[in-house]
Amino acid sequence: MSGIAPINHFGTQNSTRPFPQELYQEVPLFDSTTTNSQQRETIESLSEIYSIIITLDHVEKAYLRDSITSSQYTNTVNKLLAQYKTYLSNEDVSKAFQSLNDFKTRFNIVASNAITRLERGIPVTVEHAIEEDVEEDE
Amino acid sequence: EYDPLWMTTTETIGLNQLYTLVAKDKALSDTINMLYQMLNRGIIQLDIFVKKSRELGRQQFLTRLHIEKIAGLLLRI
Amino acid sequence: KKWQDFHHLIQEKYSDDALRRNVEMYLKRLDNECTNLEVSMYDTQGQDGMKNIDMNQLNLFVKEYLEKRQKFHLNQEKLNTWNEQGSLRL
Repeated sequence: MSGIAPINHFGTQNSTRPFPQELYQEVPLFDSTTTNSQQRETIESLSEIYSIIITLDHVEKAYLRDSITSSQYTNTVNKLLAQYKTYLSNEDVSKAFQSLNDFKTRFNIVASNAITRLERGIPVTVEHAIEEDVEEDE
Repeated sequence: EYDPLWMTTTETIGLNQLYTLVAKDKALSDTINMLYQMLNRGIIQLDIFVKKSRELGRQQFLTRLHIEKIAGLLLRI
Repeated sequence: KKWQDFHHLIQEKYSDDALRRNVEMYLKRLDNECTNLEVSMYDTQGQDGMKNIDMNQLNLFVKEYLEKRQKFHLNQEKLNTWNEQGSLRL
């Protein structure tokens, strides 16, 4: 069925440009002929990593605006950081992930608070506690 | 429910799919943001926020991977 | 013949504009429904008078909100493409 408004991605009218055959049917996310169960597992791990980043970003922001307590924050962030490391300890996952920067660019992730936290590797509360200890020792 | 553009379609099924996926991606961002607002207002607890945001985040990753796949096919035109 | 062409053009343009207005109204309505949904969630109170809502309530809310936002964005995208391409073509 052709609709009354052929929404055209490229803005050309009545184009006869050839589309790849695959586009004339539903494009599956997983294709059983090209995606085996191991690749699928890797993709699932990547989806966990992605969701950790997105979630962590909001937890960071919530702490900064005092919506959650320090202990709630510290526990949750420790858990998320540990999960992040665990997923990346798998060789296939780490290979597909490349680097935090590559992953961020490829999936268009805007989450600067989370990126900073992942780079530091510890909750901001712990970071400050260490700084205070150093000051006390001096 | 009345949707005035229900009859519109694109040139191929794959392109229709792309539209749906892009809309889903944006809707997922809106919803996660909404959950964050609920957390800030104390309507949901942190553990519930984390659980739900992780779930929606996973969905968003798969949606973006799917968009990447279809966009890759379009580049071959 | 010329007048017929002109008349046809006007009619097409008119129905285009009417449909466009319909879409814009539909988008506005969806957006309002989302806002109402949010407000209803803010007003929800747990049984003990606490503000916290449970996972079941939240799941229902998230599902409905997500569906409405997706509809909203899909129609928004279509409208944008349509605006860029000029008029609808039969």
